Amino acid sequence: MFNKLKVLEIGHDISTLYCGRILSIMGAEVIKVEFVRCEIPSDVSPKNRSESQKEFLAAMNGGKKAVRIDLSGDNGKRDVQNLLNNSDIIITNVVEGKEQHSIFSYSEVKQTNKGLVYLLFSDFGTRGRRSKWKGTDLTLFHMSGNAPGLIGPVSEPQKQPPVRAGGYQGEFLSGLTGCTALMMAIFRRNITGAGGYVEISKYEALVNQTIAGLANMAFGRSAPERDLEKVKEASVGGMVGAIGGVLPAKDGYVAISPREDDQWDRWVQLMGEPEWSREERFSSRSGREENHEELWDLIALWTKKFSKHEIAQLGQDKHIPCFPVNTVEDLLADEQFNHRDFFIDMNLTDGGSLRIPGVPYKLSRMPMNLVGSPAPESGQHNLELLGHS
Amino acid sequence: MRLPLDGIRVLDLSWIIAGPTATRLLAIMGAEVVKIGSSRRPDPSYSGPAFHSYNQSKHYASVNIASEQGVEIVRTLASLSDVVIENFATGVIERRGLGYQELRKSNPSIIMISSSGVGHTGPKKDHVAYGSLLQHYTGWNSQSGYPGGTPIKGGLWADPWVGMELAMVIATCLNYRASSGKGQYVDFSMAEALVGSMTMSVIHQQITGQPLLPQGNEDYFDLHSGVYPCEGDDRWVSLSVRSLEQWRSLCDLVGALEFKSENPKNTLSKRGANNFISNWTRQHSDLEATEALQSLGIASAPSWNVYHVYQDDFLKESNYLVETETNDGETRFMPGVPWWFDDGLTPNVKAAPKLGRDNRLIFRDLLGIEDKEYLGLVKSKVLE
Repeated sequence: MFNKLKVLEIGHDISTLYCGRILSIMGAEVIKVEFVRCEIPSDVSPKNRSESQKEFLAAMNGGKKAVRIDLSGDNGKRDVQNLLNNSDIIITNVVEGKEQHSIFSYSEVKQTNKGLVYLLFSDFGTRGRRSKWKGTDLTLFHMSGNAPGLIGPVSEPQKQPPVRAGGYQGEFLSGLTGCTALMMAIFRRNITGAGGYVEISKYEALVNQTIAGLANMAFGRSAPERDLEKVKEASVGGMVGAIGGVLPAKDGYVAISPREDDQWDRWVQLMGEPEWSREERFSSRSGREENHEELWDLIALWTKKFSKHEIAQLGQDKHIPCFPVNTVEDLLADEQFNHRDFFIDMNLTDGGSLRIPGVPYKLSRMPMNLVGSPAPESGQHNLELLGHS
Repeated sequence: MRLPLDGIRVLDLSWIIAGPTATRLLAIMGAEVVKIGSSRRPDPSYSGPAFHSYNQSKHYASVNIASEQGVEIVRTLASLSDVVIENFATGVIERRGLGYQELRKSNPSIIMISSSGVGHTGPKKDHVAYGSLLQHYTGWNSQSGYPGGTPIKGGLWADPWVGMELAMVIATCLNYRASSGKGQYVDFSMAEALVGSMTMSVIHQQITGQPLLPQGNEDYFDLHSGVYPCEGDDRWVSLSVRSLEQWRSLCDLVGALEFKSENPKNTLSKRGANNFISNWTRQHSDLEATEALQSLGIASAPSWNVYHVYQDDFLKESNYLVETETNDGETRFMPGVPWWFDDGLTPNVKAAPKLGRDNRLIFRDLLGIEDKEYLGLVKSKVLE
């Protein structure tokens, strides 16, 4: 069905691009709409892009088409109207009234295309007292409650600020969240024929990552401390309460979590049943949790003797949750990801290629357009889609 | 107003976080989600508050699927469902006789989602995993942290992300079935889901041969950004400057007049201006500082923990937090869904159930099990 869907993508933020990318992979015809003399936001301005950033945008735009329209004349407006009337979905981060594209506002387009599903990405929603606030991946991540837990407890909380996640996670998450809402809206349209307007608040999308924490608050629990003195954190970035930790290996770190009793027993066997493991204070899960600081120090004496991959393999051989702390270089070489053909080859203009992430789901029957055509140049499909260059 | 997934039944054999988070979204958007559990193998989150958000708006029936009769009951439920989701270790569901090939015999158009740590094929398919460990395995955590610091803990990111992506894929499969009549099997890898958002790091590594180092609170795309201390204990404000006009306004606000005409990317200007910014932010609460910066058109926000987020009324005003009577009879604001449909659609945000609450509804009303047989199944501990 998706190969019959026509999507207009208007906007430059990563959430819009990622949502369009997923729809393109699902088989939809995704058309990027850009405008002559439209100011491009500084965050994607081509002048300061590194090669990595350029290829990142190419990866996000793979499989899409692109038109470039001059809205100053009648032709441009007619082009827009034709595109609108023949589209099923609009995805955009351009908030009505803020930019020059009011012609694309939902209140306008629904007059001529009642079946259209319209998805808007906003920072704080378009209603309410913070609708005019501006947000970025950095500020929205910080406000959402995700930042303090990410770095874990610190030794000097007054000097060490919380940090956001790298790689524009808030933007990707918002794009994914928008796509989820969109798929539900399309499903409803299949049944009722009615389109509709769907809005994503990126702030809420990020807050929604913390539903466990919000439930804790609703039940009167306290938020986790950031102060290492109060938390009694494990030697190296442990996971408080979950009985797991990050431990030093010969060549890096390994992350383990033998939290259940049977997993712990197997872990002790793996270490050759050292004498300390028979101490009373480590005999129960609650005892291990209470004394985890000393415990991780003792385990570290053993883990330091092996490489991170050796420990992970030894642990997994005994069905203990245990993984190496990997770099991206390790990831690209990982046999599991490669066996599953997770990465996709993206062809470059110079004849080379780059591997980019594919999708985490293998669908047994629905075809997907994973590789797709290379990212289009601006206006590349004007002739095909508008009938003129 | 009709909810998008009205009329869809989801059989939920998943547990812990990711699977339940996905079916929570489906239930709130109208699907009838039948969660199966057993007191012999309680959901690990069952005793804590998190269960109340992971399992909102669902039915909850107790079946012991270690028993043959239990398996038969679940198979019958699957024959009456549109979607089945499970996240057992690889191979378990097939050994129980509840694999996709088995279920589609009586329900050819069923959609079945199997979610696991690293996927159901490949040399590591049997690896046991938790979301927090996968953040290390994939290198996801290597993208974050203080520049030059040790590996970060990573927070609880993987599972709720995966929950959202599972919900997206299920809705996609429902769309496909609506047009083609075909159900399907979905092999979902949590580790791959994390890597799906690592595009920039993956590309940078290949182009430069070097890892993309954590930016901390800086940003490649901003002219200037950072997180600064505010009045109070461990309180902070974040800001992103994206134009020279904003930079000049910021310098005016904090009294950094000598840096107004300087390039904000210049290291010395940056360091000098940061002193002025910190001196100014320390004199204000995080929200005061945010309001002042926003009034100048500068993106800014406090850096909050989940307590501050919950206490702030904004999410109640936007109806993300919804007043709900939880299953202990108390009224609390609980999370809803991060989207808004403008046509009057009210998401179905209801309390999470207790185990076995819906046994009567599911076994007697839906499956038509007679009273005598029902009591026998309870007595023989098939329904417990």
